[in-house]
Amino acid sequence: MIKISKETIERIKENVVKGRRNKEDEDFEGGSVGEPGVEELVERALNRGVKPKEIIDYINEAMEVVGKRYETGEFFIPDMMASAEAVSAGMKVLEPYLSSTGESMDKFVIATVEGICTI
Amino acid sequence: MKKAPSVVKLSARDKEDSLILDGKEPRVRFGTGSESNTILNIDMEDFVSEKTGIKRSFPVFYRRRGTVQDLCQAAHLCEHLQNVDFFIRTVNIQDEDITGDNKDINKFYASLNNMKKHVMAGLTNVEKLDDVIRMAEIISGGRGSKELLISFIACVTRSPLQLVEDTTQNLIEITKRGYPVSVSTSPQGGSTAPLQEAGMLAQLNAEILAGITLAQLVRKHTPVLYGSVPLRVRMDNLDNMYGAPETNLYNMGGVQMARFYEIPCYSTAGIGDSKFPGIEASVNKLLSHLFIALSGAQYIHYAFGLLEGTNTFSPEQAVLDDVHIGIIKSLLKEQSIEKEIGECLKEIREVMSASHKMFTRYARKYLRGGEVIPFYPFEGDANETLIKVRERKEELLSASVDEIPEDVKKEIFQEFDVLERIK
Repeated sequence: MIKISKETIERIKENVVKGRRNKEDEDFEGGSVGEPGVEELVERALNRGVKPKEIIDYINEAMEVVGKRYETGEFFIPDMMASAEAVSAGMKVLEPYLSSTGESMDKFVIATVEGICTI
Repeated sequence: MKKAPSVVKLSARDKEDSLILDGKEPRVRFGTGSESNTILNIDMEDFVSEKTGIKRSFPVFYRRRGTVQDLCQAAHLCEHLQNVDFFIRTVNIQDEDITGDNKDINKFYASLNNMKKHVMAGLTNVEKLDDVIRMAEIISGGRGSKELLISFIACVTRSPLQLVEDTTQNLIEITKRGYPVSVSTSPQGGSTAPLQEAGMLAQLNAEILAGITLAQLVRKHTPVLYGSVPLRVRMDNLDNMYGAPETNLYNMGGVQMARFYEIPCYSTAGIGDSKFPGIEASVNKLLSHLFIALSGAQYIHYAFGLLEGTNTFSPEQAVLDDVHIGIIKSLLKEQSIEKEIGECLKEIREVMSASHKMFTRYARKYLRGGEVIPFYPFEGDANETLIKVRERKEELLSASVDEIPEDVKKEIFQEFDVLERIK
């Protein structure tokens, strides 16, 4: 049981890196359609008793991989955006579990710099 | 002329690099050429500004005569340049121990040992033709091998309209052995040919037809290329002027004449008059790269790394040319609108239902498939560009190549006068 959960967690990481939200999505080489994406894998991990906080930690690890690949030039902005979407899809599945278990993410602050933001 | 085949196969050590040239089909390939006497090397040196005291690195250029080691290195580099489709020796090997008797065998060995693409060259000494062919056969698997890893260039005419004895003899001997040969001529508009396009083309065509007819008389159906290398003369010194606009018109005319006869065209692009690698040289070269590619020449030589006409080979410029030719190839690739439109409509529907309205996700597979260049790889000011190009060249040269297997090398070194230092 533990082994199966571990495999599922690893696949969540892999699919965050590949930027696949769900089974409909292609990976960065146009493959993997039909295989479970982050949404389905998060659901599966929760059903197997993995704690939401643990899943979030793994997702964060995956995003660190994505960040490093961007820094080394292996990944481009489209890859980062796809991964961010995959994280977002996973978080939607996690949301009800976080509120029901009392677990929450750390707080963060986001801001723009006055006079510089051009977006 | 009707006996000259429309389809010519040029084999390679790696079968996937073999080329099928079809005179009826405007499929474009780019290759190198052609026996420059000089190599241009770049070193980075530090200089201190007298005004600000700030130290910066700048490229310093050194010219020297080409050697057999330079040819090995050029072949090694071109093996890794993905848009080089065939290799014609870029450097004239001028080592002291290279003689009329061992030049041909060494230039073919230096090329074949460092790359698995098709190799073409001119012949210095017709008496060594059988040695060269025998060596190529050993490399391709044994005597009588049907895979012709090499082909030849025979520039048979001295314009206007005179056959040259030694190169014509080369053509006859090569043809007797059934090896593919480019029957080429290089008239200069304004000096050895008329300046006007129509006159140049009439003369160019007559010179090539004479050679092709002779080849077919020697051996019916022998594979030939229509070797069109017209130039325009510089008016200040009567030297060649490769960057002149007329040169493009002459070359496009040559491609059309070859298509009329349905014979693959050995054409010319990528030469200019610039003396140093970089922006000026690239602009100069692209003016012909693009025009001649659009004209549909099957076999475009001179396309990589040449400077000062054909006098100098610059490995760094070859790296730049590879990127630019890659862009041209991507522009000329077959379009598949019917296949793509359904996919795109699906993407539009999906994006419109998302909050961010961005198509970036769908760009990834094209990026990974090599169909999209993510950004120009050598962005920067003139110096930064050359620094990046030089680093890229070093990276490619440090990547290994599949040399000829050791047992085959042993056989070659026992039989032929190949220099030990290029083993």
